[in-house]
Amino acid sequence: MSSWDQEDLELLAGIARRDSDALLRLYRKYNGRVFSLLYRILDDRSAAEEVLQDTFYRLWDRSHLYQAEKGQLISWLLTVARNLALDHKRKESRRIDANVFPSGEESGGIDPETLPELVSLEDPDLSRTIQSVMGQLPPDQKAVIELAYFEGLTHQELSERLGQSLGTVKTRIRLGLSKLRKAMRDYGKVRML
Amino acid sequence: MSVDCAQMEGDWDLFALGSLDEAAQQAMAAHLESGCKECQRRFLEAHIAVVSVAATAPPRQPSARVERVLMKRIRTEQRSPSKWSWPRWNLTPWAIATACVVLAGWSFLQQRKLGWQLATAHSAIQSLRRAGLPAAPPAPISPQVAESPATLSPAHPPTASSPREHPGENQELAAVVAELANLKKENLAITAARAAAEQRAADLQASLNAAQARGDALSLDLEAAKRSSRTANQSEIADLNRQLFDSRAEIQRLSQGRTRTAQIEALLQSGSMQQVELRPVDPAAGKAFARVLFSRQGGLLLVAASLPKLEHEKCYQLWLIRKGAPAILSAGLLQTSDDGRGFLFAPPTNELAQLTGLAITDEPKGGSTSARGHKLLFGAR
Repeated sequence: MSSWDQEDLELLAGIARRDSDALLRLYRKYNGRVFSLLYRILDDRSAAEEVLQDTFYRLWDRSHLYQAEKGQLISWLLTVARNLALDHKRKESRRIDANVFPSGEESGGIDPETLPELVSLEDPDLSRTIQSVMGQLPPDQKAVIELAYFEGLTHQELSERLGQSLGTVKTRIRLGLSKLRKAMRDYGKVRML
Repeated sequence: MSVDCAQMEGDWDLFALGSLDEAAQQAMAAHLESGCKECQRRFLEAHIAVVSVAATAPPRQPSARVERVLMKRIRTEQRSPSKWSWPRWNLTPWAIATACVVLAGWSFLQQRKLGWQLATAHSAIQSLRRAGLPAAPPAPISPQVAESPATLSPAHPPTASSPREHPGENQELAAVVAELANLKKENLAITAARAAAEQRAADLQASLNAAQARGDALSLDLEAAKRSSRTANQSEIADLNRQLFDSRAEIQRLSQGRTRTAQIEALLQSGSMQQVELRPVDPAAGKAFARVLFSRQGGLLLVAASLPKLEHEKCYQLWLIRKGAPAILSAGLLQTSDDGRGFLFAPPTNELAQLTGLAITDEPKGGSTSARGHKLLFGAR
């Protein structure tokens, strides 16, 4: 566990004690990352700031749902932020929470010992690597991943929007994410998976 | 790996993206819940890749307002517990207060009972002292007192022995006196406990009342703050609307000025510009003088000097006198200054082609559609 993770856990313990300064420190640490994602999804500063506030309020209100053994806090925050943003965008979300991290309550008892060691999404070099890999993806693969992640489109909607078969959409998502995974592995062989 | 796992193997990326249809998402979530380690590992791999896509979002920074609003929201919540927390907040002092009241009641009954035992014991002592022998059997001692280690303890030796009493009588009297001492001590302890319990109940009730009053005051403050905030907000919005209106008017005025300046510049630079001088034709015009520059492409520019000051409800209006119909056409109202200078610019128009002369009249404020005032200045082309 890195010192960053340890610091996050100490601040989360502070939140559990209702220490508002602990939340403030986490907000100052992560607001840029979360806001960048929200702005990319919503393309509206006012809406993005509203959802940013809701995201950190959720951290304050439901910090017990975060489980450190399942990933870094920033992963949890980004997932919560994305779900809130897509809900905000669609109003009536028909999404099913694909992620066991944000809910926590439906945890299936994943054994921490079987988990891969996660890379640090706070690592600026890794961020550049991911951006570089995304930039080098074939346009079709990049488009389906971006539409699925930032727009929240289902594979059916992607198929209709892009005029491609469901199988093609699935394959392109799989290939694109597979390259991302490989890049992350290559970047941190010691640290990941 | 089961058949199910094999079927799902290729879909964890889509699941992590939330891009599958609802039924498939639910089925895979349920499978994860079943505890399949291999699929949980696959899902986590997919999840890491999916979350990493967030890193490709261009960096942005929120405004400082978000931090202020968030912290205000949290600190307000800390100061004002939600309505659902009120019952929890009230429960503990109420429970303690109730327990204290019950304890005080029990103490009171015990005290009465012990008081009765005390009176009986006193009565027995008096009888023994009067008769030298027990006149009646001692009052029954409660099991609680009888079982007490202090009862007839060597630490409480009989002190009421008298030289004229028989040894058997002395022994019995000592026992009664010891019992009496124990009862007194117990009575004092119960009285103190009762007083403490009553004081504690009173303190708690006072705390409860104070907390309730604080809650009410906070509610009132909150309502007042909301009202004040609403009013201030509306006032601020109205003020901003006024400022916006003024700003738009200023922008419009400046835009018009810029357009006019550009047109005048174009007129002055046009090669086909012509000139007409206007001179007074009515004594009321005094020593006024005006010069008009015009061209079909550049428009018309009038500059006047020494214009007499008109009555409050009147203005100067320039007229084009033409060959064709209409023979007389308004070119607009002059802008005048207090020192008698006048100015008018009219944009380019074909009407200038058949111009034979120009005249300035005084017209009612706002101008006229046809010349009705006094013709004050005139100039022929």
